[in-house]
Amino acid sequence: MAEVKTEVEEQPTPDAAAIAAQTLGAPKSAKPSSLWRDARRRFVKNKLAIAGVVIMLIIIIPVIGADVFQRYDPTLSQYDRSPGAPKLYEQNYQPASEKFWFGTDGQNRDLWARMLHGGRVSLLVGVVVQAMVLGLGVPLGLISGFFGGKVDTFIMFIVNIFYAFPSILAGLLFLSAFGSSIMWVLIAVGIGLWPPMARLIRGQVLSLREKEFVEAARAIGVKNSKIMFRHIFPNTLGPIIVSVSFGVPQAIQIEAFFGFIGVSVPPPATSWGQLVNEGFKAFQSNPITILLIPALAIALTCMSLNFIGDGLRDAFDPKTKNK
Amino acid sequence: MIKYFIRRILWIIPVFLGVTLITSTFMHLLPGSPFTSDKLSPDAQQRILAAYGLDKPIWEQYIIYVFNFVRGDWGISLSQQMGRPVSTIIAEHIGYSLQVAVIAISTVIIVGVPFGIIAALNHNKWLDYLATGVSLFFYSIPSFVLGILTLILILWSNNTFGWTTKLTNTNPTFVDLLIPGIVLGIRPASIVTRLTRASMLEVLGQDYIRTAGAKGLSRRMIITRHALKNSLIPIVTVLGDEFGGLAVGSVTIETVFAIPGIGFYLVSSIESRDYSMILITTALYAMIVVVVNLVVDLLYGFIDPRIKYSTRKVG
Repeated sequence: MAEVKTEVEEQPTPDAAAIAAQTLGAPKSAKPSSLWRDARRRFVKNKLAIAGVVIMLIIIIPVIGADVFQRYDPTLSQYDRSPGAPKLYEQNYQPASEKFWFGTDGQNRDLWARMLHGGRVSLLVGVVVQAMVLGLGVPLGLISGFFGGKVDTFIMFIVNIFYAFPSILAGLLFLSAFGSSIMWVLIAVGIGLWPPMARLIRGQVLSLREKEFVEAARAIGVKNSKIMFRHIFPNTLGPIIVSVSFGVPQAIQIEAFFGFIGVSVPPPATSWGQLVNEGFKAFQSNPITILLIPALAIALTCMSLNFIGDGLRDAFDPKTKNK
Repeated sequence: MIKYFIRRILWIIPVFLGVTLITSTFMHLLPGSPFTSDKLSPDAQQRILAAYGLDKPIWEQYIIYVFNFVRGDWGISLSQQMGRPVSTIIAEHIGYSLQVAVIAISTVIIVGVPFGIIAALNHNKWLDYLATGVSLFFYSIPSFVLGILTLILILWSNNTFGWTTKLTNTNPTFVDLLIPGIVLGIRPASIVTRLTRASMLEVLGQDYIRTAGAKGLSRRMIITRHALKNSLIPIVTVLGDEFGGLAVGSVTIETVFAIPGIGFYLVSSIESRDYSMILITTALYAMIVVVVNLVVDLLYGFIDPRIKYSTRKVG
């Protein structure tokens, strides 16, 4: 704890820095350290977080450029039909080789290409779901916390029902009801993730709206909507960023689970979770890579994203540095 | 206190109604019914639906359903174990889920809390780095992936050392459930480790700890009497949250390890459109989450008498 304290003392708050600059007659060009600059400095110092960023880049670049990096079409079987070649079914589940880097699956499709395209779905779900969670959770949390009273009671009533509802089960019901297109997968994953966001924002707003700067804004007659978006919202950005950075791997995990029990995106599209599912059915009598590679991809991605989230949390809230 | 308690118990009612309403709405949106079949004439299908009360309007089915639930009549399974009461099926299989949950929560307490304390007491030494590193590692791996990696490990060691660890079992004993339970408990245990460490560090920095040291108490006494007790509060919260999470996590672990528990049956009920099973199991899961949250809130009072219930908001 001592370490934290010294660090906090070294960093004067923006106001203190500004006052010091004025009273000491320091040159105006000396920038006061802002929350964002401090955060960036602390984040860059965090070795695990930087490792997470590097690993994520290594994963993201080939996944985004899947069409460039793939060596075969991910949806086509790569059978060798030349005379003298082994029978077609004997060509399935090839081990990793020069030709097929990750081996092939039960229909002799290139696993490397399928991993790249499956990664697209998995990562897309992670990012888009968080966008949806923000779109729903932030406004509801802001309104609920800011206005209080009956509005708050009503919104929180709905939020709490969804909060109590086991999210994975909700998603399962959803996917079985509407079939699994990518849109429903996104909604099914997001359905359990927005209530915590709404609750987080509400809690932040509840404490922020009692702060002096809000009172000051009110005193000079600033409109409610402006107070909400100009004064309160920017102050919730830190916790939002942290929550989103942990939310992305969470969404990826949930999608992976849906894929694993076979209710994610419809074939021939695939996701890492579905590749795990296919590998899980076949791994006992075939090369173990078919299961190990997608499982490790999910684990590695979630781990790197969590490292990044950890770094961001430490960066935005130095008090929790050692937690 | 009693008023708060009653209010919290009453809160279960709207949650139950909300959850069953959402569930039954979705369920009726599922394409097909349990009796859709080419072999049955439309007339016969209609008669079967009428026999189960499935031809009535959805809202009427829902009201009948809620009344029956309260009376303890949970209906009969519509497809999987045709005609058997849902309550019997659940009674048969909930034991496995509970055993897995108990093993998991024991793992969380036995592993999570002590490691957190050890890490905090060795702050910024190698034991601390080891504990935080390992917990961050396990925290980041989804439990079904961890389950799969465990399965691969079991298979590999069976092949390599000639062990005979069973991968799945239709009628598992407590020993068979040990590995799945521990796997399920590892991720929440890592969360608890991190939290215990943080909470302990915060408490150890407080003035009253220094005071206790100044008046000559032994380190052991300070830790057990003052530090540990005060660092427990946030841990209890998370334990409660995680127990709710375990209930749902058991769905994934039961699927991976093919344990015939409630989660396993829920997934197959959804596949076979077994309305009454789906409705009851999801409602049960939601109830478990709500009740555990209630118990946790009430536990605060025992751990920290300063907390006044009347001022706390519901939810």
